Amino acid sequence: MKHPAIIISLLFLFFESIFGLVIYYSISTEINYHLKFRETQLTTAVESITTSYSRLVEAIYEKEINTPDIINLIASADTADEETHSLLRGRLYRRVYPTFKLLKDRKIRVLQFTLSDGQSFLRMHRPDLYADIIADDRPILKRVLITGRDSQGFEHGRVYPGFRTAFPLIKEGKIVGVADFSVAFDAFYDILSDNDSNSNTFSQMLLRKDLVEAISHPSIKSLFRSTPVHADYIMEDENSPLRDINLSVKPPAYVSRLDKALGSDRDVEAAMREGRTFSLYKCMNDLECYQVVLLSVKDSSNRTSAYIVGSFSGDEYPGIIRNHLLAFSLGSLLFFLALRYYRNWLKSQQQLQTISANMAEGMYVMNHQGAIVFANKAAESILGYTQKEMLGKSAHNLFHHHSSEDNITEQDCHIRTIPLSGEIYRSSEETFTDRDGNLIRAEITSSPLWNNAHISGAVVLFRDITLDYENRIRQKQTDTAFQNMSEAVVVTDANIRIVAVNHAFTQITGFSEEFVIGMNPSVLASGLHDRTFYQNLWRKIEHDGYWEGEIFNRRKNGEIYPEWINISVIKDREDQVLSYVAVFSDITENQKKELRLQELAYTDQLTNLPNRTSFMRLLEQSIRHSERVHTRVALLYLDLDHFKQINDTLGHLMGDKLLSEAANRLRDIVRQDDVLARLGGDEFIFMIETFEQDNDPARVAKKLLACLKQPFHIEDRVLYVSASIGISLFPDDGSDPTTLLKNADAAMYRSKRSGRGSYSYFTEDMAREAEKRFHLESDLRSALSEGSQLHMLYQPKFSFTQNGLIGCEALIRWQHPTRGLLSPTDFLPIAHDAGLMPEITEFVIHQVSKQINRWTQMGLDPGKVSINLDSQTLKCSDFNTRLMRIVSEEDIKPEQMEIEITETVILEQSDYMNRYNELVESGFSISIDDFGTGESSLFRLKQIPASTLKVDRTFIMDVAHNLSDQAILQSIIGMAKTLGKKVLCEGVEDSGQLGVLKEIGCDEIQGYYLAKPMPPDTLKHFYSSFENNEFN
Amino acid sequence: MQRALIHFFSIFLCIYVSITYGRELRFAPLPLENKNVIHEQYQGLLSYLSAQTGHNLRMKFYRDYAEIIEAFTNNEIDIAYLGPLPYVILKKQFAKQEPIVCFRDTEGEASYTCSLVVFGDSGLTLHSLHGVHIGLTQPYSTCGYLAVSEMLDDVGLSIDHDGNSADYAGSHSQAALGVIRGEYDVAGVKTAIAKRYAHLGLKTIAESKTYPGFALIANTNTMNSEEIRSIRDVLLKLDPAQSAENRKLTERWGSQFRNGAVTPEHCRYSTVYDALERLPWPIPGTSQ
Repeated sequence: MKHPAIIISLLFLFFESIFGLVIYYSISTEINYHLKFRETQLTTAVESITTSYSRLVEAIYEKEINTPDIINLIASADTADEETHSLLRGRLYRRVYPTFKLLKDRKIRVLQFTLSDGQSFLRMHRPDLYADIIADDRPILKRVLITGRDSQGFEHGRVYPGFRTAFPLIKEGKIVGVADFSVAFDAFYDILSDNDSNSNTFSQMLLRKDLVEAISHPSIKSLFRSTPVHADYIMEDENSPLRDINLSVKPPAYVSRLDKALGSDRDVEAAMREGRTFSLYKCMNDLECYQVVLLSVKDSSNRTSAYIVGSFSGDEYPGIIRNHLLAFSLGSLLFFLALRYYRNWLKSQQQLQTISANMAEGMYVMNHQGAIVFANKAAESILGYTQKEMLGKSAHNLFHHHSSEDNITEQDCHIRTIPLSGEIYRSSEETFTDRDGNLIRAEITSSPLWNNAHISGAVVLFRDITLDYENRIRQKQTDTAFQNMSEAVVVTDANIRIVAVNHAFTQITGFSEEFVIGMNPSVLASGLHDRTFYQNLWRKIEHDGYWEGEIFNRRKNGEIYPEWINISVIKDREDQVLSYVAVFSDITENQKKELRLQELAYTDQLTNLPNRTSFMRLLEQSIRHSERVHTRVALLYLDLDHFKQINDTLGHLMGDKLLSEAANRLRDIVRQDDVLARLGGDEFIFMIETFEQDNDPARVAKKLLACLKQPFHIEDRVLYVSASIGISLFPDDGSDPTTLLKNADAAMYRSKRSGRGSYSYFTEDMAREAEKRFHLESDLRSALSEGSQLHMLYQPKFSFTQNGLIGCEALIRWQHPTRGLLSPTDFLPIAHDAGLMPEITEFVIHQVSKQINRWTQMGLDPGKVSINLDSQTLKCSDFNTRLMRIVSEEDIKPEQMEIEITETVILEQSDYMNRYNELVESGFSISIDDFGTGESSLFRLKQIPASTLKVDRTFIMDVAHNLSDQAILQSIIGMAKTLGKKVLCEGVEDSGQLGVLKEIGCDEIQGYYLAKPMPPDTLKHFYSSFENNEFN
Repeated sequence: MQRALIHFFSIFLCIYVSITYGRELRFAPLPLENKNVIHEQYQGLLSYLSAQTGHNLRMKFYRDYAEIIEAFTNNEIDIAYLGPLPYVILKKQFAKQEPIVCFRDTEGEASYTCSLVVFGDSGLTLHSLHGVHIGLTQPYSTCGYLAVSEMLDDVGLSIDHDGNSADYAGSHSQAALGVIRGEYDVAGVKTAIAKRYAHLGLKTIAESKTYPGFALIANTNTMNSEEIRSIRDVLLKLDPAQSAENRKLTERWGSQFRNGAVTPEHCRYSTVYDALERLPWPIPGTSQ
């Protein structure tokens, strides 16, 4: 149904064709009726005329011709000479002329006498023509001469054609001649044609040209003329001077035109060529029509030798045509109107289909029962069902989901029930389910479908507003975000007129949205930026599409504030500016914070003194300044003595207060041009930017030491502290801050080494010592990575109670490539300062574990092998894990290893009690090394899961002679026994010490007297050769 | 195709000449009563002359020869078709005339003779024509009153004396057939007609001297020699006897024009002049 015009055209053509055929049949029938009537009429008339003339001729023949005198004349001519012939012919002419005249008056134009030999004796109508053997060309004459009976028919002749009747002239039973009559066609004119020259009825005779020419006398040819009707036919020339009869009826004017028209008619030509009688209507114009009957005339040989062409008024023809055309027109008009109505209906249907097919909205039509009877393409697209799948189904059951009511039945479905009640149901809250089960937010309009004042169903238009809905939500979210952004947002149009601002804008600027809408953002201008600034700003926006930077604007209350603003331009696809969006924030607070951060970065928070970073910058500046003015700078590196103990014993809070108070005292001494800074911990630095006397730094150092010697009263406590100071000078001790600081530190180290509470100037030997320390540290790092320079020695331990070996202590040695064998006291302090202790400890654990494993593999039980654990390693959070992993990897038992921790470390690292417990629970045993040098409390000792107290060698050295030491040892042993711990005394170097220790109840001993540290192989032999009661 | 081209060329030439040279020439046909017959007989000739010469020949009708001659002398006629007798009368009265051509008769002759005929068994001779009924053709026919009176005069007889009476048969044939039918005792007809009906027992008893044929006469007061020559030329070039195309062209013309024409020199009017002197005037049977 895509081309209604074509369909309608085809239908129209079909119906018109049928109707046209019917009309044509009707016309043909009516025309044929009229033509047949005329044809019959003409045929009848011709036959009637022929018959009547035959009778007339016969009567005349009988009365006037078939007389004895004439017969005698003819009979005499048969035998007469030529001269007599002429006289006989003249006499016959004279005798018959009155009769011939009578015949001519009756349109019988031919009267010929033929002799018995077929020779024409006299033609009354052409007396000048004679003596030709006419019977050869005239079958009728021949027939009469042969049969002796009259004969008739149409025949051409020497002069005239005509309807001929020939009678024999018989004398004494012998045919002496023939009297031959011929009715001229003119005779028919009077009867067949209307006498009125204006009449529309006329007849004429057309003669076969070939037949005429075959028989006619040459002189007769001008009697004929051609006819436009047919080239093979001629007719008598009515104007020929040879004519002996004047027509009483002149051809009407229309005849010549009609003849021409007939001559151009193919049907006429065909009919005449075939010799058929034919009739037709011929019209000159729309109103001048004629009935024409072409009546075939057969001659005596049954050849079509002439035509009588009768023309009659055809006035009825236009009427017939007109009436039929009118009927056809009316019918066509009715068809046309009907089909036009149908086309319009189709068109409207197609338009509706096109509209529905191209509607963006989905549409379906339900019948009264709720079944879908139509669904458009949009509905298919939205719902995912094909129309075929939807047709006949209940829309409610198929895809209605509604909004919130889940239990709506089809009978309660508003989409169906409301339109069926005649109302229109509109909703944007409906929900449909598509074929895949997806929910579709739908906006629908369900209208009643009226059909002849009855509601036959409902038309439902719906639109998928899921995206709209989500967009609305998103827009709402965006609006909310926009309004609740902490940053102010200003949106302008292309003409830079404000069209929207958010709450943050109002909060920052103080201007309400109503006030600034439509205004230029310049309302915020502070006046601090000149025109060039704004020109550059807009130039960048135009060029790059955005600008970002800091601007000072003015609030509504006049306050100028800094803001960080980002201005972006929004353009459409044609690169036309749609709007500008500025997002800015008040950075007043940020700037304050930055300042604060800057302060924090360069200030020590505890003392409010410049920190290390700040000091180094100041020192750099001072050095530059001193270089320019050729002055000297002194650095005083100050470190509080034993401050660590204060922290450990009194807590960090107390330590911090001490530091703060110390800083205050030091600050009081600082001159305006000098700088005091805290480097970290308990270290301060003092810079004398310019001094004149060489001893000025020492003088200041003394003042510093002096001020710190005064007791500090902190939280009801009185604390006494001292400090060590190292002094370096610019340019004498270095030309850069780092060197100067390092050298001051070295000088301070020397002060510490020399007894604390004093100051030292940096000297070259300090530099060398520092350098030596540096190289040793580097060598130690190499040794650790290389592995072969460090090795372990094992010093056996003995038990009085078990009278034998109970284990050994692993002791590290460094076989330095150039310095030879170094004892732990030579490199461990450096390792400690360099932070290498965890690495060294791990090396030791590995070595010891391997060795234990190796011994075990050898079948040697070394007892517990102890290792020393320092404070740095203890602080490593993963120490326990790493220890367990190594032990596991080396396949030894934790019970085979003992960990010695100095009393000082244990006291310092009191927070690691859990770690100690974990080690003990894992199977390791702990011994407190150098016991007696620290300040352990009984409570602390009770808490520590150590199994052995290893008494420092200082208590052993004089134990054989010093009763006090004996008493202390006895106390320690007694306390240990009370706490369930064993006591090991190290440093046993003679038998006296051994005896005393045994006597006072020491559990275990270790010392050179019994066994020196030895390599593992030596130890194996020592174990193998040792007798358990050997040392008793 | 060729004919179409000729027609096209003729029409073009006609239009061209009429625009450049042609003018209207007034033509007086024979003064017969029926204008339709005149039109039928003359129209072909006049159309031919108009097309060939570029002059527009328009017919002017007159009741009789007297009117024609008067109009001619008043220069109201440019060309007139006249038989020998009217021409001679005109020539005597009006010098500004010139024969253009003389037309051949149906026999092809530019001149002819007349005969007196009787029926074969009548026994009549020229000398015995007393108290006889004479058939004449037409009053202005040379073979009519003029020739019959001359032939009778040769033997001392006359038409309307010696007990004789005469009637006009209308034509030569009717005059001859009238004798056969017994309507006339004797008739004056063209010699050619007399011979045609000899097989009906018609017998010639006398033959006249020769007479000139019919002619077109130009008014030299109103026509220049070039115009006269152009008309003469186009008529003289027609030869229907020899040319089928010319026959075709002239078949619809009046029979008096269908046979071609000859120059005026072939028309010897002297005999007419002489005879005219002897004829009564007006000729009996005419309206004058």
